[in-house]
Amino acid sequence: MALRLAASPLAISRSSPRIVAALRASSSIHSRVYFHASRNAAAATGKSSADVTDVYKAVPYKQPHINQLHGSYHWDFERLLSISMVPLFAASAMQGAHPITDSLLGVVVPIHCHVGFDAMITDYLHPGKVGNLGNKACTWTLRGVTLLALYGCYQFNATDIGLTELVKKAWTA
Amino acid sequence: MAKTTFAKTRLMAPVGIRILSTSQSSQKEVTVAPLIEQRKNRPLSPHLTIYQPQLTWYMSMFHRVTGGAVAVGFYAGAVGYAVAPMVGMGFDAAAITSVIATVPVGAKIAAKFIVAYPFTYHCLNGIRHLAWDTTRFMTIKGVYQTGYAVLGLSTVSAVALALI
Repeated sequence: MALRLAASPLAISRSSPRIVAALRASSSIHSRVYFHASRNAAAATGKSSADVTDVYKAVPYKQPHINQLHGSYHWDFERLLSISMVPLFAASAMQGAHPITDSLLGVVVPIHCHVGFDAMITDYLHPGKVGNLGNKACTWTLRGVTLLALYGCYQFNATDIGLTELVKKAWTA
Repeated sequence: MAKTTFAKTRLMAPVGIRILSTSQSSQKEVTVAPLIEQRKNRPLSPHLTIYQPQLTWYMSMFHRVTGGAVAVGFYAGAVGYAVAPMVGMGFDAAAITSVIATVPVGAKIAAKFIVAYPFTYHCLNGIRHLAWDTTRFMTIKGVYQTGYAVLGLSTVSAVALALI
């Protein structure tokens, strides 16, 4: 089953005399392609083609470093934020605009949204689907947008009428 | 010839062996890239379309969908207000309220219901989630009873808010 190496995309590199000599000097197994049912079978025969299985090299499993900031503390923080939103929205609805409730809203709501979006990125835009780079890009984009949202809320509370007053006015406009 | 990965996959590989085209150098990226490429060529088994509709996962789905929708709206407003001065757009409370005032009453009530319903649903279902986190209502009966309660309360409160 000798294959025509001239069809290979490496044809250009083979014009180099060093590489040509290396190819000629290589053992005859490199002029044949061997297909095996499994890597164990390939290892058993002692003959295998050029090794694309290097890609799937078995790496000894390393237990991930235990970091409670990414684990239970993150969960605690999520629930703390969610619980705090109940009295916050109640106070905001009952008493109207107040600098403290408005500032708290402008911090708690964007962070709560961020946590939710982060969960969606983990579920739908994970490295297995979009690659490590894609996943990291999404995560850092989300962080940038959340920072912008936090800044926007701060500016609105500081220089405009405030979040509670906006909802009240817009709702009854 | 050296038995390096480069030698084996670049110099010595005959035709018929897939040659990696990624230039990532880390081990993890090298092992994941071909798997991602393969996944793009495979069809996906049906999942949401064939699973029996149930209150449990429908409400869970809507919790995420409504949360995402309300959050997108909130972010759009906040980020819009933050960058409006840079693009010269007049985007402040007075402009918003004056635009809303020009809308007819029927459209206003409909729009308020459309905005309020995801918000009330997400809030009340969120309280249901927090109750689960204290291990309450963790039975089929509890899940369904609280689920119907959330559905009823969120609809009623959304209607009430729309009529303010």
